[in-house]
Amino acid sequence: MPAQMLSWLIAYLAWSRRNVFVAACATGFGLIVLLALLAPWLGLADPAQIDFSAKLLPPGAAHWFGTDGLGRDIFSGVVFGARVSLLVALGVVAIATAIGIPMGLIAGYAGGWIDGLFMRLSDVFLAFPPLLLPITLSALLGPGLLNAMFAVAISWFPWYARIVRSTVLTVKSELYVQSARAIGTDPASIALRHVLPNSLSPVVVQASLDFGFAILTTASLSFIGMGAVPPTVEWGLMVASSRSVFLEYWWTAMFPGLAIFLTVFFASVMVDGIRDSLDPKLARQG
Amino acid sequence: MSAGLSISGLTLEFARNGGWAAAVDHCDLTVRPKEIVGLVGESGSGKSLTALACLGLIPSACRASGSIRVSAEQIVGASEATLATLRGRKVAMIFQNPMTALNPYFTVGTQIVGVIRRHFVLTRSAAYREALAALQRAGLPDAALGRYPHQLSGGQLQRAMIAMAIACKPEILIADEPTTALDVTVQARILSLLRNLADQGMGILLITHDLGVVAQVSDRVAVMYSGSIVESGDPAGIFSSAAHPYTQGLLQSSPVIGLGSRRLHAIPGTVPDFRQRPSGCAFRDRCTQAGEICAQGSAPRMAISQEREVRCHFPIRPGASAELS
Amino acid sequence: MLRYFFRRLAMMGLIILGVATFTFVLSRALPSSPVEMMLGSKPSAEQIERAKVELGLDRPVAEQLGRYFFQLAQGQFGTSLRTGQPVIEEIGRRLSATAELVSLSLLLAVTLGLPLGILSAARRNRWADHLTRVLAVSGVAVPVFFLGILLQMTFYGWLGWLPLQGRIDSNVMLDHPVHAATGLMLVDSLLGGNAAAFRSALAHLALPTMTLMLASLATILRSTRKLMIDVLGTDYMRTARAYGADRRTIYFVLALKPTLVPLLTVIGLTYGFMLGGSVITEVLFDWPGIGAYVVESVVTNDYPAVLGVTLVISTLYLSINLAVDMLYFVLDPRISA
Repeated sequence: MPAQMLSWLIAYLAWSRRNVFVAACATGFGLIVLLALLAPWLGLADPAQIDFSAKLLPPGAAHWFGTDGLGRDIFSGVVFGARVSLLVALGVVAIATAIGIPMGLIAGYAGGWIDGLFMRLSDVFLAFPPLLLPITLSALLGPGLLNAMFAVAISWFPWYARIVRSTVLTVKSELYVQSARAIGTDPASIALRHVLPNSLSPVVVQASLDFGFAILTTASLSFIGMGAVPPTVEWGLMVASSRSVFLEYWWTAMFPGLAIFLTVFFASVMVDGIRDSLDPKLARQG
Repeated sequence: MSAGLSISGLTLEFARNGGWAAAVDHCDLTVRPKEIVGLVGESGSGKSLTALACLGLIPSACRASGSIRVSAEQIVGASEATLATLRGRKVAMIFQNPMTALNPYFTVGTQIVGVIRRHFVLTRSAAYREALAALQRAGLPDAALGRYPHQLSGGQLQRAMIAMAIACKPEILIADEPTTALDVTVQARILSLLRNLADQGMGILLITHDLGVVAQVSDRVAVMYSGSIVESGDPAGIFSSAAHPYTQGLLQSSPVIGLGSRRLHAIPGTVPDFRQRPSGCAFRDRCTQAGEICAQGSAPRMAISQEREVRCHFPIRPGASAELS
Repeated sequence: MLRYFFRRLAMMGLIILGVATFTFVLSRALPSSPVEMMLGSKPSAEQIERAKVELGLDRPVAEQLGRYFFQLAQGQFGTSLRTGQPVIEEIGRRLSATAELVSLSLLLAVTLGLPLGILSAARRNRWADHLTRVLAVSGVAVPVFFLGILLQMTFYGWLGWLPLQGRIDSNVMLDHPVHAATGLMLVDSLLGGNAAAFRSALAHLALPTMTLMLASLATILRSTRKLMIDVLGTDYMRTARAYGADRRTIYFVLALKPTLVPLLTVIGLTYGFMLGGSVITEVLFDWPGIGAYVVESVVTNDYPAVLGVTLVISTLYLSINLAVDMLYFVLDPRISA
């Protein structure tokens, strides 16, 4: 086991040397994840603790990122907010794929009127420009970050279903699947053993790209008041609550905002870099 | 010789392990006006690279030395500006796959006119007249002028390419596998078109791996193996009694119509990658005639007769039959 | 081609009907009753019942849906519960504000993104390329609201060059009122020779436009770069070089057309995205556009407004997609000729 891990480490280091920028971003992302995981044990102040005597303090020794309008420590808020944002984004992608993949499989494999019905329904979902549907669904479900997560996931699952469906259609007509059917293999095991594995890779690509978008979307929803509500600590919410004071007290908006930007930036570069490395054709084009 | 193509000592190298590996090694070749010279070789022999070098289009990773003269102008080391004035004007190239060689977003006419107006100061209508003339010489109807590439067949597209190539009346035409992607019947017509163009004054370098093509139209043949020209001369002489063991092997392994029926013998081994060539003669590992001297540097060029040259220490004498392995 | 167009148009009609149904059903499921909100302070049960009957909320949902479609067919979007104004008028006003913002943003995004993308492709893997690629990723990674706030902090808070919010200075509006002909403030003030209003409108447009533009700029830049790199690697580009084409001709004529045609699809889709994505920008800059209208309506459960605006936005979005697809037909010789 340790020997294998060592060889992975060596391979990673060799790859990093060639792609310094991507590796740096991957490391940055890793650090953020690490911080988020370890947050409760880092001895930080309670991010939701209101203290009017300490309100709007600039960054300093006591409060590394300063305090906001209610005296809450911003550094602590940013770190705990990382937990929230990363988890929620993961949740969005997980739910969207959990609903989308089976749906796409069924629609693509069954064909006929089931497929037709699916296509028309997903057309309706895809007729909404981004953000419009999450906003409407969010209002329906009520305030709260969990509801926002569901709202976004429900808005997005048709994408995944469509991706899976189109791969299913391609794979279905492949020779080896036809041969499997010809010798009488039952449809379920064909679906599971042949169709599913091949449909997964474009889904994985899309999901990894969407992770960053999920962070942005949920933060945006929180910003306009349709996502996280106090006392939940969330980056978008932190920026929103800074709106009345950010002009004079820049740190109230800057740090949470930067946190979102850096996380999404690192994640995007990392995902792009990994994808380029795995796809030799793209890599050659640089 | 001021007209025509004159390649002398051309070496094309790629960087390898701190040194350089030659994909084309001291190549000498001449194409005079009114003649068709066939450059024969398998893939990996360096013939396409040689062709690109004649237009100064080698990849940036490739280093060129030696001399290529087109109509008295030096190509090797020439500036982009100089090359741009020569490309299409003094020397033109047609490529293997006509289906992808033309821009699908512009009509054939627009593209040919573009080339003409790049090299000559002419009004649109005058340029169009020239383009029309070129199309006619290439055997295409006037209507082709307004067609998009996807509306033409493979043979028509190759003629369109030829039209573009001859539009500025260049001295040299380089045809890189012009018929490989086409039907056999269409092949013959394209080749006879090339013959006509040569008769009218153009010098043509015809690059191919197909001995049959070479047999049909060339005035002279050069055989290339792993970066070097191993034999050159008149086609009839070479086909009847090849001097270089590789040429002999090539003839014996390819069915050539008109040379009688015979059993085909494949040459044992494979063409070496230019980065891993054996020292001395590149063919010696597969050669039936090889001797010790073959491992020490390449053989000098020897003239066998008036027209024929070979680069070999042990050329096959006419009449003698080589040992078949 | 015409057949394809009509088929797509018919499909679009069906989808819009689907959207209407979908949103209608959703609105009926909204948690708090719109009635209470409309009646203001604690109403009696009787008042609520009466209001419900008035609004037709006591009928079965299917019947309500039918009535709504009937209403729609007559071009009636109903009345806003919040303002009492006809929804369709409100949407009209707000739509032009968004159109001005989005169109200007897109124009800038293309004007900057296209040349930068070409430069990036031409100087592949040199520093200019890497810089533009970082810009491209940043443009998509930065949250719109954060970018807006940064710009506000810089240009209003620190430099004081540009205004914080709104569409035009209210004092200017009072002294030099603009006659709304097109609904586009810039155009209208020019038409009326109203210099003060024009300057104010322009100043107010600056920050929201910069904010909204960045993400699209990034997308257009990346797409142009990728498309142009693909084109530059084709056989026909090699032919162009083999016939003496100079750099300028290659980048701006021969490679540009094959790049532009698929790029137009990207640009069209970006326009559609922007329509929806302007929500955040409008909320931040207090821009009286349709994105902000969506948020206002949804938050106050103003269901006629929500229904109306969702329908309008979706129809626009679908129309743009259809237009872009048809554009492809016209521009690509392989399909049209």
